[in-house]
Amino acid sequence: MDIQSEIQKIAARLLKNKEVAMVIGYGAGSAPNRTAPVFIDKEKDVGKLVFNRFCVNNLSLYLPRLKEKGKIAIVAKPCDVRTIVCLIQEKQIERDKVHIISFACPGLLEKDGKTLFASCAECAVTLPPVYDTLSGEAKEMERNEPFTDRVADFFSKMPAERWEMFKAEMEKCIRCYACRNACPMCYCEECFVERSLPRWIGEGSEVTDTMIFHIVRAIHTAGRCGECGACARACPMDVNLAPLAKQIREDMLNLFHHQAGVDPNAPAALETFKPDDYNDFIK
Amino acid sequence: MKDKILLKENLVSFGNSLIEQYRLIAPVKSNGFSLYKPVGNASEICLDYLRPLKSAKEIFFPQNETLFFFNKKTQKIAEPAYDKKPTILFGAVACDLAGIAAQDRLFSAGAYLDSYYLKRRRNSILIGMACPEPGEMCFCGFFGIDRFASDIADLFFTPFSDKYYIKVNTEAGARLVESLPDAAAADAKTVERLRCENAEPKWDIPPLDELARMLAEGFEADVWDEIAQKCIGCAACTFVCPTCHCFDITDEAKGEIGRRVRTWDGCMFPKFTLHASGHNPRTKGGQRMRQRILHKFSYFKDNQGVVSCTGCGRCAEICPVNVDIREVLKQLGEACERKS
Ligand code: SF4
Ligand code: SF4
Ligand code: SF4
Ligand code: SF4
Ligand code: SF4
Repeated sequence: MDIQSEIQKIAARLLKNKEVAMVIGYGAGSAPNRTAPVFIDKEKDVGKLVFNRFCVNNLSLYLPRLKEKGKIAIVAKPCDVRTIVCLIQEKQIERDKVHIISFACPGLLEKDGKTLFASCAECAVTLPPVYDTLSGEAKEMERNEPFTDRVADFFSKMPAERWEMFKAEMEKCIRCYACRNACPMCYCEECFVERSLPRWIGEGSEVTDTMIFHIVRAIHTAGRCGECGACARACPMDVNLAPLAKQIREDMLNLFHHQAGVDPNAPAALETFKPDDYNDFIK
Repeated sequence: MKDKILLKENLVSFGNSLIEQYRLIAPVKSNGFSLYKPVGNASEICLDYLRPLKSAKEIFFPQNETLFFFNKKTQKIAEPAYDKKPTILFGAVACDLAGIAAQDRLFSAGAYLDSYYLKRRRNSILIGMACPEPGEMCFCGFFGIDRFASDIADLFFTPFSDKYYIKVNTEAGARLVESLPDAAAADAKTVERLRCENAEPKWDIPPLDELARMLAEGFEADVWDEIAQKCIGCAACTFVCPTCHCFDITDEAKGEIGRRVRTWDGCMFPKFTLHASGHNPRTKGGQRMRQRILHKFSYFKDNQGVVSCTGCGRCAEICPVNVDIREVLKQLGEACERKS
């Protein structure tokens, strides 16, 4: 059975048995090669659930805001599951209040219907770390040729050149905050960029302010970013947000042996310390 | 005023002849998509895109604009430098020109003259360009916008075979094309035929007058929450829109010296209506979505006489969760039918 039919079947069963109050999944988009989030609470509507290679959103962003509805089932790509795990670790949702419908991920395609998204081409996880139901069979992802590792490419440059690259990306940003709002881990009710007493950064599109926004956002997602790439896919201006996030993920791994979104029972990176930490100030 | 003809192969030299006296802004390819940007050489102009990703509004109403500099110690303010060179916007598509027409109404309506907008706008010339083929999200035809003409443009270009047909609307436009050959009657016919062949499809959206009634009746409808459920509350849709014009004014200061800036804002940001008291009258996504749609199709029409949506489809194009304004209007129509 294909992934879409399996998802529909699982959703129908869960709703019929009243195991969940709602299924969050992907529905048909308003134009070819697009999908849109759908919220299904009746068994008869499960036919609206689709699965294809244009399921670009990370739907786990809706979980915390819908939790008062009861237990919720969610269609989640393996990378999306990592952010669900982080949300559980951070007590935004409870493990037994979410039913994770996942699958072996074939990777997402850009709107041209041909090119694998950069975040997917760089992705090493095609199976979810945890799940309740799993569809499909794990396969090696078909990568674009030639494949450029944007992060390695970025960090192979000299600092001055890196700075120029970073600045050029930041100049593209229009500060619409779609990246932040598409990110399940950016769930703060009040983001520092919107604080006015005191004001942390200017409101406009000045490039230094934009840089601060992105640098602080990257630091705030340290050890929490599931590398789902939803932020970059949400960006209307195609800003390359990957190097910051990826490098921080690597730093977390090398310095703190922490990998985000793998184990829901492990403590969150920022709420733990080790007595044998090599930094003196921790003791 | 006679209409003119420009050979496509002469576009670059025509463009470059303008650059000497004007700041030329035109669609250019940048990072894989098209944007209206100042061009240094007309060869940068790129017309093989549908419509630029962002609208043309920022030419007259920039996203971030210094209103004045201040010094609290000396109690003096200073105006920012302003480049007096007139601007030519070249290659503006019909939906963007309609957007500028809406902005003109707003920023020069009655007693409220926006000097910042007007000083740029009054020092500009608009050159339109026909869209041969509407995109998958476009629905300008729904509003009766003609892709092959615009009253507000000083000149309007329609490409056909190896030429541009130039409709001359104003004296200012006529002066720019003085030296070009006149269009023949046959050329005018060809353009007219093109326009007829490209008649707009039918739209399954409730017609505008019916929409007005639905919006008035549906203010408290549950459908707004339904429509807004997937919206993530960014402001991408309002930032790319040719008619959205909301802004915020803030001071940026270091010690005693600083500037007062105005910056685009958008009603889809949850904090858009947050009061100083801490009260927020629009806490729900549905209320914010309703504001955006009603402002475009109801309030703006009541205040300025036209709806403030030009059907450019940009909001639908870039929305990260595929909130498509055409679907929103349809959903609203269906909800009203269900009720009655
Ligand atoms: S920062 Fe981007 S990649 Fe990381 S969890 Fe958020 S949306 Fe996903
Ligand atoms: S989505 Fe893109 S343009 Fe919008 S704030 Fe984020 S990086 Fe900037
Ligand atoms: S509301 Fe959407 S379709 Fe209408 S003018 Fe604005 S961006 Fe274009
Ligand atoms: S209220 Fe909303 S829809 Fe109206 S102009 Fe402002 S941002 Fe645009
Ligand atoms: S772009 Fe889409 S998600 Fe963002 S505020 Fe507009 S409708 Fe909502």
